Order: sequence, then structure tokens, then C-alpha cells
Amino acid sequence: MAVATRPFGKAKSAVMGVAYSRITRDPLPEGTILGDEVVDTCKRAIADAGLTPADIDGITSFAINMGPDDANTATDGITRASLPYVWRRLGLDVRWGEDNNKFVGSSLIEANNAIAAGAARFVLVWKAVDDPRLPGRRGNGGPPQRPRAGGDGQFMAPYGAGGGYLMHAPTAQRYYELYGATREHMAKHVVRNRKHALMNEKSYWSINKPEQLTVDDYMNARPIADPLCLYDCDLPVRGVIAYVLGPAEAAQDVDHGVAYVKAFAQEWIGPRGLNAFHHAGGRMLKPPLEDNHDVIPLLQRHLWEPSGLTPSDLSTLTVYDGFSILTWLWLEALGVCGVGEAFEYVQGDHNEIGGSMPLNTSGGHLAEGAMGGAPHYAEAALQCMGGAGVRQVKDCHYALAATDRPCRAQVIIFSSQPD
Amino acid sequence: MQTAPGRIANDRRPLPNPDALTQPYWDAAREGHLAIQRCTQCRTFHHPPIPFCDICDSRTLEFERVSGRGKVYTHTRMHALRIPGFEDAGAYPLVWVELDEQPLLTVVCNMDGTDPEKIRVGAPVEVTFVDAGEGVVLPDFRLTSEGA
Repeated sequence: MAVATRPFGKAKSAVMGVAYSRITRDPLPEGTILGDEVVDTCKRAIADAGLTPADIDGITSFAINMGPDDANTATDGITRASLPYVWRRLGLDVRWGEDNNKFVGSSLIEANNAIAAGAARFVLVWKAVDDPRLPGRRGNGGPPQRPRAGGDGQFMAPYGAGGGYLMHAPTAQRYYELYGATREHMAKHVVRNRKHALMNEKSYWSINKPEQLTVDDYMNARPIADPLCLYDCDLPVRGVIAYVLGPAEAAQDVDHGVAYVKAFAQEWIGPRGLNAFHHAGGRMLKPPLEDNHDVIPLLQRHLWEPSGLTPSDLSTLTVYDGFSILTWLWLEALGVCGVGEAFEYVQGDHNEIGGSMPLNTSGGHLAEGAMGGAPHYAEAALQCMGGAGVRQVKDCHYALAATDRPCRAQVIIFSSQPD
Repeated sequence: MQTAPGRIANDRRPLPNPDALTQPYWDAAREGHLAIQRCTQCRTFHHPPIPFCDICDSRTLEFERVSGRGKVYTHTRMHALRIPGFEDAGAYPLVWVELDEQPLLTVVCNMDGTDPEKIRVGAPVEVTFVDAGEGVVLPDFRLTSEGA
């Protein structure tokens, strides 16, 4: 089953521009729509890359919003901004476009591949979220009450098993009991994460409520699904992040640093066959602690070996934290530490900004805001571009971003140099 | 049939809506035993049931009565999360039981009526059955005598 993987070699593309909208939990101002924020943020990313909309000939996004953004509730420009919507409003001449259904990491990888293949030269990528969990949002009526549950849900709903935390609370509980982790261990990690978010002028907490979380706050927080409490769960927000990628040789003309796409990987299924995601539409009939560990040899073969790098070559890493436990699982899946060791690994000062392996320097989903994995790639790119402000990691060469669960991974290693 | 008069049993919880693929599971539960779909070729158990074997690609799968014994794989307690039918249940446990027949073959249940402090990863459990009304019987689990 092992196929020889070609080395990545010289970077084919680079992130040349990044832009953020304001990250907030407030409704949009009267008379404006999400589409306006998307278009404005995309324009600023294009300008940051030293380009104009006339230069853009490729676009890609994970365009659907989060949660119940389906045919019953979605309105283009209001709950989401589709590819044709952005295409039309920016007046682009697009020869390559791809709407994908994974996190924005996949969009960025597709953009790199399109550029490498010559299908497009400058690609606009964006992620827009107006979280339907926030008050007053369209589609926020909660799931319909159904007296009967069909499909895979018939083995869950009669027991009261529902909600996104079911992907993660039971995984965390098994991890805690097998390896001896405690909520005190997680408190240290979450508190440091908030500290990083407060150093990030773009984060929800910086902009809206600049308060440091304490270990006591964490320990006394509202329980959600044991062992997860409120601060283990991502922060619903409204926000947009946009990126522009271009060919590596053109990136050298940008008047600020760029982030070359050095290596990447996507994983779908573990060696045990179809993993948890494929059952029950992401609901958890199979909490995937083992699946997340099974992915280790796959990432070794698909990411590390063909990149010629090892985890110790990284200057920083920004890994997914839609729920806090996922960051620990990522550290283990990537080989940054051993299986069952992440909870101790994150106790040291080396994960602080200024330490030897700064971790989640922007605050991530827990504290910057939940935007479909978009903050993780933006932060890793900005670190390589030298654009991370007071959070800047000194001499940042390689920065890794990873999103989703390791068992359905998207990973990109950015480089400040074309290598 | 054994019935466990559990604390969270209520007449508002969603009931299963079986289809051709899942009907044998619920039929077996109504008869008081646990049956899990199994591939007749490679002998892999599958839950939830699937239309083809994702290990060997066989289309021939049958339900087979299993021991009903297993171990707690993992668990959580749900705290007032507005889950349909459980809005008024207070905090309630959810337990994933790994059946003895196969590693990572897990079934979700509540272990209703069990002291939550005794629900720990690895604890031995056995199947029990709850009358959920309208002719539906739900498999649930309890600690075995050595686990209690």
C-alpha cells in the first residue's frame, strides 16, 4: 500500500497577501450584508499582495457557512458568499475555480496545485463565517424536533447523543483516563492560549474584551460535556479572512515577506477503514482517539519524508483547536511529541512566544475566533511573512498550520524562503 | 425481557426510524438480545450497519447475535445542552461500549441508573434493555457484577 512519495522540491507558490475583517460576535450593521465584508476583505488581501482584481484568475473557498447553512436557510451574500458571488462582485476574469467542502487548508492546497499546474496564476482564497450559533442569526432555530431518528442517527438520538462536542468530549475523556491527563493540565494550555490571543490585535478578545483568563476561571467554568468546559470549545464569531497566492517566482516582487508553500498533506481515512467522520455525518458513533494516532505513519510518509523536514525544523506551529483536546492530538499526530505525551509537553515555557516552539501564537479558534480553520493558516503565513507584529517569532523559517481532526487532516508547512 | 427503570428514561426521547439496513437490530432488541451486522466474507462486525463491507467490499452482510458483553471505551456527561428530547434531563451520561467481539466495535448508550462515578474507561459491562414505548426497545448497558 505504501507508494513512493515524490519530494516536494522547490516551492511552487507563496501566500503573497493576507487580510482580516473585524472579528466580532455582533450582528452586521443595519443595511450591510456578509457579502460586503467578504468583498472588502478580499480586496484588501489583493492589495496586500501588490495586485489588483484584474490580476486574479483563480478563486477557491470552503464557501458554506458553519452549522445549519443548508438549502432551507442559506441565502447567497447573506449567510455565505459563494464563488460566483465573489467572482461577480469583484468583476474577476476567472479561469480556474474550486468550491471545496473541507476546511480552508484544502482550499489553500488546491490553490497551490492550480498554480503549480498552470491552471491559474494568482488565486484568491477566502473563508467567511457568520456563526449561526450566535443570537439572531438566520437558521438559529436549533434542529427541528423529530420524534423519530433515521440513518445513523437512530443509534444516537434515542440516547440524547447530539451536538458538535460529541466528536471531542468522549475522545478527550478516553485520552485523560488512558494517559493520566487532568483538567489542570488543560487549564495551563488554555490560559496560555488566551495570553497569545491578547497579543493578537485581530483576535475577538483583543478587540472586544481584553481580559486574561485565569486557571481559576477555567477550573470553575460552566461544564459542557465532561471533561470539556466552556473554554475548551471554540468561540462563535463573525469574520472573514482572505489570502492571495501566486507563483513562487512572482512572489519575489512583493514589497513585504511572503510565505512559500513548502509542503502539505491531506488525510481522509485511517488504516482501520472508514473512520469516524464517515459515520453519522460527523456525529460520533466512534470517538476517534485511535484514528488520530493511526494517522502518524501517514503523515510521516505524505508530509515529513517528502519535505525533508522533521518537527524540530519548525520555528512555530499553529494547530487546530476547535476543541482544546484537538491541539494535543495534533502535537502527537505530527510527532512533535510522543503518543500520550502532549498534555505534559504543553506545560513548559517552550510553547510561549519567545520559547523554542511557540504554539498557536494567534489564539486560534478558542480565543481568536472560530472561522473554519482560517486563522491557523493566516497566522502561520504571517509568521513567515514577518507580519505577526508583537507575536512575531524571531527568525521564523518554517511555520506549520494544521486543521480539522488529525484523522481527516489538512496540513501546510510554510517557509519564509523559496528553498 | 429485562427492563431498567432508568432515571433519564422519558417519553419524549427520539425513537429510531428503522430502514431495511437497520431493522434487524431493532427487531433483535425487541426480542431481548443484541445483534450486530457482520460481513459473511471477512467476518468483520460493523456498527452502525453499512450496505457493503468497507474492509473487503463484500455485499453479503448478516446480523449475528453477540454476547452483549463489553467494556467502557469512553464516556461523557452532557450538561443541559438542549438536545432534542433531553432538554429537561439535567446532566446525563453517554457511554461508548466496546463490545468484546471486536476492538473498536462501539455502541452508544446511557448506562441509565448507574452511579456515574463508577463509569470508567475499561469497566466491564453487559447489555440490558429499556422499553421506550411505542413498541420500541432500546439496548442499554450496566456494570457486570464484577464491575459494580
